[in-house]
Amino acid sequence: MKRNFATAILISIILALVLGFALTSITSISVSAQNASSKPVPRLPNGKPDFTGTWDHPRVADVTKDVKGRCVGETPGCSNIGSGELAFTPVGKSDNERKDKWDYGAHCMPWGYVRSYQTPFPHGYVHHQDRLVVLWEQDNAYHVVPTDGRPLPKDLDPTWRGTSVGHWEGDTLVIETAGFNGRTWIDTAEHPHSDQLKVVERMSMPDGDHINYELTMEDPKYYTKPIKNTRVFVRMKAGQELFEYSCAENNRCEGGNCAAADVQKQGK
Amino acid sequence: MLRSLLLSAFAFVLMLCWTTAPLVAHHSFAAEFDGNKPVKVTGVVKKVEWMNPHIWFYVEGTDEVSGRSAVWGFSAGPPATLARRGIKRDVLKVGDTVKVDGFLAKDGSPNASGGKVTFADGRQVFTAAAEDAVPK
Repeated sequence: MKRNFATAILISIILALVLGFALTSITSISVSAQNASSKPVPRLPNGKPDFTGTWDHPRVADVTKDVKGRCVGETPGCSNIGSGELAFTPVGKSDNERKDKWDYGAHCMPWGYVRSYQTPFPHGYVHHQDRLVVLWEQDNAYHVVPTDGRPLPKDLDPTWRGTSVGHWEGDTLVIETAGFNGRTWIDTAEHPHSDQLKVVERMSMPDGDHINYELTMEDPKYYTKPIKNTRVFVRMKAGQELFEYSCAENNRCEGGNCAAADVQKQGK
Repeated sequence: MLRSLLLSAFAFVLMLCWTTAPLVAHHSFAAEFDGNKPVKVTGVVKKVEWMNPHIWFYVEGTDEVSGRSAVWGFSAGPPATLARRGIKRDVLKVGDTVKVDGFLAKDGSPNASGGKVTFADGRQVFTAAAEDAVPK
């Protein structure tokens, strides 16, 4: 009798430890305990979370890697759980390993959809009931996502940043994006993608200061498995807005050739 | 008391190193500058271009590593990134005497990334872009 009781206690303790560990692991993937805020989630008139605001994100130069700590705009508390090693198709591998990759960004072409969220420049949202407008400081570009649940059109014109549609699953906004021209990279590490790339993002707000952002990229032409990243975005301090950005205005040393500036031509 | 202060300071510095993205392959730094070729120029600021995509400032002086005298062009971070670090566009003024530590342009021109600026009064400003190599 006593032995059964002791065993039961022991099993309960072990179960409690395992459950506690599992629960804390799950929540720490989302928002780490010390960064969770008590700010309530702002709501749209229809009751859904309102993402409007200026948001900081982790610097993700390589989607395979984890990142944790300060966001690109100096806000604390961003993170990325990377995908781990990428699984290429033969075509994808050969495109990834080519020596003659053209650095489209260094020549001021549009950075791309997923990549614009990963750069040293923060982003923002203007959120209405019928659409989410994404504002990237990178390239000062915007992107409109209708959120009325319409399906992604077939036969999309290929573009740098694709075409998106969104729908709600409870309080999670699910955005599907396709119709890419395949001319961008998915990260600074120059991992390529084809025009078959499809991106799914799932966004939710655990509290008024954080967005949990899950990214899934599927590109059957280049990758044999989906590529997943899980990130935390942090709301920037009140009063912080996005800055102007212009790639072309003074792109000296473009492509590795530093043309002489006027002040360098005088006399000396 | 001193020991815990020192420990806190050490931990803070470590945290800064850990949280700022280390030398991940950044395309334009690696394409344009050579992280193995340091440049140290002391001279006078001739011009400041506080513009995107990276600020440029020009210092007429001599590089103590190569001995080369020129109007050196230094590339640093974008205006937005610097502003969020508290570095404003008037930090460098024409006529200031500065020492700039950076890394030489790959194309052989008198240009470099300019990650660290030391003023005559000893103040230092770290102007590197997010993933430029930061001179010590």
